[in-house]
Amino acid sequence: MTSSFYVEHCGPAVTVQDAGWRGTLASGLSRGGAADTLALAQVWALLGQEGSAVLELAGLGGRFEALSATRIAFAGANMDLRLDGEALLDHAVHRVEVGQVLDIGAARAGTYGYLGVGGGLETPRFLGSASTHRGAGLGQVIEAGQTLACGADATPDRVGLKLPQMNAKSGAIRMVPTAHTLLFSKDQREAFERTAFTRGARGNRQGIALETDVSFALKGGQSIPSETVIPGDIQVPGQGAPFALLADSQTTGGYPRIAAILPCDLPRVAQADVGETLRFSFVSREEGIAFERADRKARAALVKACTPILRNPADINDLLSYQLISGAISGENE
Amino acid sequence: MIVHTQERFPELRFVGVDGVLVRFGADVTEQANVAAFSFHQHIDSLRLQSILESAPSLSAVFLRLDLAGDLDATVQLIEAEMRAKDWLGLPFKPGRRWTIPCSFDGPQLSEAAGLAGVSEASTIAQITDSRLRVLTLGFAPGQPYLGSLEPHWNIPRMGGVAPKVPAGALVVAVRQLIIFSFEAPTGWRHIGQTAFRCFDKNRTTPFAFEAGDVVRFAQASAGEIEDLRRDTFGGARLETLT
Repeated sequence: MTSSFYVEHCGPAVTVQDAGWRGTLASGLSRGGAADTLALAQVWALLGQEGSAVLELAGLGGRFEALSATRIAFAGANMDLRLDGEALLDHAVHRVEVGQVLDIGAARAGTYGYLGVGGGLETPRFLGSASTHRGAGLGQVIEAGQTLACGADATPDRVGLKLPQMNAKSGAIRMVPTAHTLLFSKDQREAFERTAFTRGARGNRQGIALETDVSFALKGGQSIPSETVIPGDIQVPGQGAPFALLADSQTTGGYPRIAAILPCDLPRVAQADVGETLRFSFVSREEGIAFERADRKARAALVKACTPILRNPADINDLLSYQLISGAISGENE
Repeated sequence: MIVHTQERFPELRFVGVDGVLVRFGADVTEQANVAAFSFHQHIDSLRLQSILESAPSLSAVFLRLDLAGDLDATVQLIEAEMRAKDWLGLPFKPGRRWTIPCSFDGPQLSEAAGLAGVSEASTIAQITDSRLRVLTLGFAPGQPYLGSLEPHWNIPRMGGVAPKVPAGALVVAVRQLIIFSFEAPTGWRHIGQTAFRCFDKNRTTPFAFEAGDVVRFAQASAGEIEDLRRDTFGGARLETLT
C-alpha cells in the first residue's frame, strides 16, 4: 500500500534527503545527503526502512496532512510535534490515520529535524540518490501546496516504538590530523584545542563558521595546491577564521585544513545552534578509526534498540476513554 | 620540517579516518598532473573492494578506504602501487578532445589581458591556440580546471568581494581556465561565455568532462552562443582520439 501527504505550509529549507552519493567525488559532486547522518539512521531504524528518502527540516517545520493512513518517524533537532494538536513523542514511530494533521514547530534546540514516512518519499533520483543539493539543482526543495507521494510500505505495523536520544551534547568534538595539519605550528594546533569557538550565523549545508577572536591563518601565507575536500574538514581561509565543512561541501579547495572532524561527531557540529560553544580536541588516527568503527556498530544495532513506547497513565489526558476502549488495565504484556 | 623537493614524491598522507592522499608534487606541474591522472585510472582499474572511492585533484589522488576492511593492508597495497612505476615519468596520452565555442567578451577580458601583459586580440589567439587539458573536476559538479596556459598567465585571483558569473562563464587565473557549471561567485576573472553545460542532470552523460580530456576553444559571437544554448552540449564537438 502506498500513501501521500499534502504540504499545507513549511519552512524555506525543507528538503528531501537520504545518504547522498558515493563515487561522485571524481566528478565534483560531494557526498551530500542528510546533514545529521545519525538522525537519518534513527529514522530509518524506527521505520525499519534503511535507505529511504526522508524530509530534512532546517530550522523551521511545517504542517502536513496525511492523505491516506501511514506511519511517521521523527528524529534530530528538538521540534514540537503534534498530531491533530496532541503532543507526539519524537525519536519514535507512530501510526497516522487518513486526514490527520501533523504540525512540526520551529527548532527549539538543534538545526535539522528528520521526518520519515512509511514506504519512504518517492521523489526524483539522480545516480541512485533522492538527496537535494541546491547548488547542483538536484533533489527537491519542498513548498506549500505540494503533494508528497510515498512508496509501498513493507512493514506498516511497525509502530509505537522509540529510540533513546543518542545525540548527547557534551564534551569536545573529536578530530583527527589530516594532510595539512602539520603545516600549522604546534602552538596553533594547541591553541585550536584550547579555543571555545562559537557557531557563527554564517552557515548552511555546505558548512558553518567557527567564530573566535584568535586567527589560525598559516604563517607566511603558504600556498597549497587545490586538493580534495571532504565533509568534516576544518578549513582555514586566508583571514584565519575556521570553517567546518558539511555534507554539501565543495569537493576541492586550496585552503589549508587544520583537522578532520570524526564522521561520528559531525552530526553534533551540523546540529549546533547559532551562538553555541564548540570545543575540539585531537585524537590519533588509530583512536579515530576505533571510535568510528564502534559508532558504525552502534548504528547497525539501532533497529534492535527500538523499544515499545510505554505510556505513563499520568501523561494520558483522556485516561478514562483510553481504559474503556482498550478494556484492560492489567495488560497482558505487563 | 617540510622539505620542498621533488624527491619526496610520490608521498602518502592520511586524510581523516578513512582517507588517503597520494601526492605527486608540491605544485601543479604537467608532470604531477599526468601522474595523478594515471595513478587514479590505474587504481580504478584494479576495482579493489577495500577502496570505496578514488578522485584525482590537480597533483594528487584522494582514496577513500573501507573502514570495515584491513586498513593497514590496504595502505601497504597503495604504497606498493605508488612505487611500482615511475608515475612522474609518464607521457600524457589524450583520449578525447572537445572543441567548445566561446565568445570572448567577458567583463574582465581587458583587465585579465593587462595583467598577463598582452592585448585582448592576443589573449583570444593564445587561448584558442592552446591545447588545454582537464586537469581535474571539482568544486562544483562537473566543473573543469583547464590548463596549463603559458607562464605569463599566472595572474592572481581578485581580492575582496567576488562577483557572480553565470553558468558557462569562462574565467581565468593562475595559468588555468574554468568553465562554470552553475552561476556562482568567483575571484577568477570572467573573460568569455560558452553555452556549454558542464553538468546536466537530465543528460545521458550528466558530467560532460572526464579528467584528462583535451579541450580547445573556438571563437564565436555572442549571438552564436545564444543560439547554441538550445544544444545540450552548447555546440561543442567531441572526438575520440586513437
